[in-house]
Amino acid sequence: MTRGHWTEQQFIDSLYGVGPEDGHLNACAECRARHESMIARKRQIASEPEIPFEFLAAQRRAIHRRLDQPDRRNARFLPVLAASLVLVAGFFAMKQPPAPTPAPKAQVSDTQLFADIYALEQSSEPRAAGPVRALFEEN
Amino acid sequence: MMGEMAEPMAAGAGAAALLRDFSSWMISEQKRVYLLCQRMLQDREDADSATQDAFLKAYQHIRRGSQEIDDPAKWITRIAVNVCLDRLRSRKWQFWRKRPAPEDETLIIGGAPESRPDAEDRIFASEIGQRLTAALDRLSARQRAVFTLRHFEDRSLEEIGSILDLDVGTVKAHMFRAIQKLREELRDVYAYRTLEGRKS
Ligand SMILES: [Zn+2]
Repeated sequence: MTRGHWTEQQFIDSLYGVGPEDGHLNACAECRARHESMIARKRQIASEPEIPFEFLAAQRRAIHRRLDQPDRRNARFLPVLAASLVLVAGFFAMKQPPAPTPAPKAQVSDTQLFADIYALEQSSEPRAAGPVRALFEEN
Repeated sequence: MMGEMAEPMAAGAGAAALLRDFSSWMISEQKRVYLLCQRMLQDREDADSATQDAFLKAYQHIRRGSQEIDDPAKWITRIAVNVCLDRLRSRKWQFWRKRPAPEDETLIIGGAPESRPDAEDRIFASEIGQRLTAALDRLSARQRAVFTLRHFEDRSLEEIGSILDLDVGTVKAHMFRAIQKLREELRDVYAYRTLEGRKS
């Protein structure tokens, strides 16, 4: 052997089918043994776990139930169709002539505005309290 | 058997026979298909529903009798992998999805505990299994399919290519990327610190 042993990464690559194709395993007993022990390790880690019989039976029943049903492949498009209809309806609603806009309110002059603010400032109680106070006034 | 099943479905007795044949074939493939879906999707409910979808598609295909099926096991694997790929792709948009439950992760890669009676070995294998499973999340849908078919089903790259409809070069490229992303976990799985080594 002139070349060195395989690296850890080369062993892993080889296990997954993408390792070097240099024939080293045929020539080197040590690496071959390591490779075989890694194959055994992979089988151990990847061995099939138990699946409860009841679970598989229930799954088969569900499949049989679905086999009995008519083909409902198009049913999944119903929500999309409904959403599209809403969008189309919305589009036409927006195309309707716009509602008449209300006439703008009369502009309040600056003088009037200052007078109102001044009156508010001079008042010792909030305007909203006026009607309530009136309830307790005689006459 | 699948040759007979691929005949177009006749009325009456023919339909019953087809269903009977289909049912016994399904029993023979069901566990493997479910485990494949579970390993790809890492979610018990999702895998259950994907398995059902796969067999349903298979049945509809057989009933139509449109083409002969040479290798039924490979064929149902292909259907199942495609169902899982579709689900993985649509998951990209499901940002609210949570990680699989730890017991699901153990089931996915942990292996059969019955084959390792030693408790320490079981825990060790389960820990490694959980780490590797969590790491599968880092793979793209195709990388996950390629890796799963090799790691768990021990399929050749050519077989994987024909299942996924990819040429061998592309399968190799996906495998390289998958191994790169799983490098640390795989080194731990295959480290010299094997179960025997730990005992000595
Ligand atoms: Zn060597």
